[in-house]
Amino acid sequence: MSATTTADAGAGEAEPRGLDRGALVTAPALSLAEVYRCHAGFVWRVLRRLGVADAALEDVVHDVFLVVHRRLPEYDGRAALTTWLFGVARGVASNHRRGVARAQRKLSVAPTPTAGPDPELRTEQARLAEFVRGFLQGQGEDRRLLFELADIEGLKVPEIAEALGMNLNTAYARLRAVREQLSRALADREAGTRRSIAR
Amino acid sequence: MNDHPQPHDDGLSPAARAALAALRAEDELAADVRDRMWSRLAAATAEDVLSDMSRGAAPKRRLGRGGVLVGLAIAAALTLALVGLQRGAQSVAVAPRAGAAAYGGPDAPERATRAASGGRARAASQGAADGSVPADRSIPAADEPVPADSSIPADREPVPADSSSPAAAQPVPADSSIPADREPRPEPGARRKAVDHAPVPGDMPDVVDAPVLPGEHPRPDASASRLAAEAALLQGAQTALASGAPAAALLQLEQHAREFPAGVLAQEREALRVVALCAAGREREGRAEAATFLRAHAGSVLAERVRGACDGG
Repeated sequence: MSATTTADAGAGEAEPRGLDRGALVTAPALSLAEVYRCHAGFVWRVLRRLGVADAALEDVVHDVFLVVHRRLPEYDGRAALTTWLFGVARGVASNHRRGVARAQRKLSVAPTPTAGPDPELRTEQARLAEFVRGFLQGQGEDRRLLFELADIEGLKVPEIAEALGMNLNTAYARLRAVREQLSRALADREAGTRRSIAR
Repeated sequence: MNDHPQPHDDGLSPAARAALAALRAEDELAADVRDRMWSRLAAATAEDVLSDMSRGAAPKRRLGRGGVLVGLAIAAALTLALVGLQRGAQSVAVAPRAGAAAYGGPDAPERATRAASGGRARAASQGAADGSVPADRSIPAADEPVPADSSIPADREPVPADSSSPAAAQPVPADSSIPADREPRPEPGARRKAVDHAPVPGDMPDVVDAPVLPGEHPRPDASASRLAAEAALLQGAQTALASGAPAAALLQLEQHAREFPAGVLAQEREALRVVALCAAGREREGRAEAATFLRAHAGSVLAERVRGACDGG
């Protein structure tokens, strides 16, 4: 998957934007167990969207929560916990991808992509999901992340814009554009399916 | 904070909404993977305290020496107990001492921590480095990690009925062939005692302090899972202490006392409780509990810290 295009993504451990260290206040203490229980699924999905390969997901989720474990006392409750977790996950995923890229450069032969299960055997839900994934891969990374965080994960647009370093109006405009493109693409897909059945 | 995406009059067609729902369902985290990752994390965060110590840094800025020592003891006890469980699973005749540290009797924690004071770095690095004791992999799926009080709304995590998510197809560690069913098998003339504990989603086995008779060994998967749950509660208490919330720490410790009155980490719980009481300004209670602790565990590695807990240490 494509590398992160934003400038801040690589810096060591994740440094969530918008975290004003000077203004840290004592937030109600959260335990690692609570955060994990409520948000492990979110972190898992976000890491996939950030391009972490399935085979490495468990390890990277683990690393994210180790960072969360260390830094939870810094979370000040100003942004949604999910937004903060996104920042952490993004930094860890970025480090991970750099490591993977280094490892792959050392290999003379790129691994052969494996064929997925027979598309015919997959459910309509899986095919639909695959279609949306394909559509989103065609978007730039920032647009794709913006859309996924807003419309799939339910994060607030201003917080996403801040995390991605994007102007708020730009974020709203891009979000709307992606939504409209997706709606059109799905309508075309539906029309194509009907035509092929009619033939 | 994590509501479903609000419907916007914004360009998303109903078909697009349906497609996004399908994508979300496909990307769901499978429950067994979630549990497996938690077990690993609970073990690793206990070890984390230890590795911070070995670098000479306090693990939490506001965590006093007491918290560090208690964390150290938890890490070492956990590691020893996991060693015991691992061996117990392989051979009935092996490691009575480490096995005792797992659930062997009232003095098991004492022995675990004493052993820890002698060779804590060795104990921890063994598990991580030589691969003979894959502590972080040896625990099968833990029970739902759980603080009873969930002030955080569980975010939208419907587990799809059909778990066709790619996660389910991932390669799993060899030891995950241990059955997922972690309920202790009912035994005739049950010697096990059910206890009333706080409502725990993804319920833990309803057994505590069951005497282990000669020739009878607790099922290692159930015990490891319980141990991970114990460690998670105490880690939660430490995190709360570290973030300056001793009241929250006390709640976690009370939950541990309810669920694991004779747990492997009971001694660590009592020591943390003294530290938390003093940190909360409840010095009179703290001193009283410290005196009780010191009577019961005069030789504990935690004794010194408990002794000074209310003196600004």
